Amino acid sequence: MKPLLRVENLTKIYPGSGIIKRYPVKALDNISFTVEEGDTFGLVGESGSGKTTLARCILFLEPPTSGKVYYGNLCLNDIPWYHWRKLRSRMQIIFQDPNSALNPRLPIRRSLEEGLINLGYSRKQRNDTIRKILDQVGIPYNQVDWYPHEFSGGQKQRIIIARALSMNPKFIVLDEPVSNLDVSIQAGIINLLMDLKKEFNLTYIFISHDLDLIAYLSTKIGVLKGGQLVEVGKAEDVLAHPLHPYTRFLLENPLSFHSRIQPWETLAKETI
Amino acid sequence: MGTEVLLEIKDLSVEFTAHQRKIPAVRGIDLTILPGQFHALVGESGAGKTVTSLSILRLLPSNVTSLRGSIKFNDHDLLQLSEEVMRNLRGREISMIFQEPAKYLNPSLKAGVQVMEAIRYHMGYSEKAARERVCELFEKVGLSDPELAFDRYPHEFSVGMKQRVMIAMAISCNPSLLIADEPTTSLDVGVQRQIIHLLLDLQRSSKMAILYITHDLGIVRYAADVISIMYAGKIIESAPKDLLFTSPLHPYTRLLLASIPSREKRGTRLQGIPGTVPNPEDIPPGCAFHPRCPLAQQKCKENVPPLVRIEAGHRCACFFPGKEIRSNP
Repeated sequence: MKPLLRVENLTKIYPGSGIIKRYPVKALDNISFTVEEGDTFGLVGESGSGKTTLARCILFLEPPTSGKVYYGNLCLNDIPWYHWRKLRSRMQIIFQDPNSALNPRLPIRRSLEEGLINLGYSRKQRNDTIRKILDQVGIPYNQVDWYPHEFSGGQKQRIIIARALSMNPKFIVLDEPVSNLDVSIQAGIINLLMDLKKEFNLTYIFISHDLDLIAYLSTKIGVLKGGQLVEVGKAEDVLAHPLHPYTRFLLENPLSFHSRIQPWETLAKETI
Repeated sequence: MGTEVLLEIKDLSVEFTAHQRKIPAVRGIDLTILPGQFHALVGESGAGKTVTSLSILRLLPSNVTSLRGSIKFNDHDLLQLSEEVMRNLRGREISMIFQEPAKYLNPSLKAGVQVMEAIRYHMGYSEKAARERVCELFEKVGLSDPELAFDRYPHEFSVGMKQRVMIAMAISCNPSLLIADEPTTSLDVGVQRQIIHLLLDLQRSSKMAILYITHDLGIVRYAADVISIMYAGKIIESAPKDLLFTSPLHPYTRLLLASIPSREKRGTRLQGIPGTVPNPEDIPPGCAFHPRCPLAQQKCKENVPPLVRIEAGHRCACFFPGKEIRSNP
């Protein structure tokens, strides 16, 4: 398999706030990994570990302080601004909160066609594309003139997935795409994402704090802690033989649904 | 006399009115909590979990237009008590912790002072005695150096520590029931685990009952004694932990359990439940789950299945409890 995305020594430092003295915040510290074509790269970490910052840096929504990102053979650091628009359609991102990712004042048709207009599609081509992708994600086409508030959270997330898909991307960064959804809805969205991946030959970077979910769908797993990638490897290896104590800690979480550890086994040991 | 009961909710219904529309948030639920029991109330957003807990404390917002049923707590009906008696009960007999501790702590008051308030009000302690009691509590909930913590302001604590301050406040008067409304939802795995262990420890050491509200089945499976599952304002299944996870009866419960991803399910398709959670404004007639249910028949669309006892301690509101569900093609 050939690498689709390569991240080399990526570091992001925020200058920090304050009037008298500024304390810089090192959000990402020297991160390197490769994502191969067809991979689902699962990125797991707690809040504040730098998951979202990493997603934004990879896509250059926020330029990294140092380090390089390669897309195929292309070094994204060197792309002149006027080429970005074309390139962006290749790489899409889906955010956590479906409610804030759609403009509430536009019917979803307008949100869906914006990118297609940028690519110079004619009206007919746009309508055909929208019909096709809405069908793919399970939203009836006759609801295309509805406004976002008329849809449920899960449906909105489907629309956002459709919007990302309409650009014919090669890879998609999914930043906690199901965390804001009800448990009974999550499985449907995950199944949809997995089906689409197969059908369109997509590559995913899947970000989540939920190790059970990452363990379910990833082919490769990266564990972030405090801005550092503490462990990265094939999913089977990481799950079967975690090397870093933090990964082991996450995997042995008694609160995971599939854990069979009983309270009395841990209660005595844990310091309270 | 049967076994002692701490809290007994009977046929509780709560209805809001907003924008001239009636919103039945809770539609007739029965719930019994025994002393010292860890009772988990599980449901998705809009199922009516929080409204149930707020009606126990009579803290419902003012746009409630109808509140029916009874909530018996130690033989008093909480819905009939005067506001004054209620005030003496809150914090003393029944207390509550919430999802975002930061929202419920006053940022301009020292943590210790806030915890002291309830102790002085309910137990009539002097300032000095109350301060000692607070330090004792801080020690109990795992705040290192309680003297120092007493004089700290909320912003100087991490979220997990703030939740500990909230717990200290909630248990300050030795309540017999603690209502915990998603107290660990916004916390990281490690902190989550500490808070759950703290609650379990308190439950055991002081015989305090806990009504734990959550949508996280992992926590429930680990900590709860009895679990009640809510869907669209009703309890649809209630059982001791072992029974619920080994032989769930309601199709919603069973599909829900099957739709949780895990390592073991790698490479297989998740079960999933079609459709969406109904909006409280328009709950379907009959069994509220019927539009999403693979077992639904004409009967389910017309009649509401009652919550009936299937076996000892196991209750389920379905016409076809335990019937086999053919998995999706």
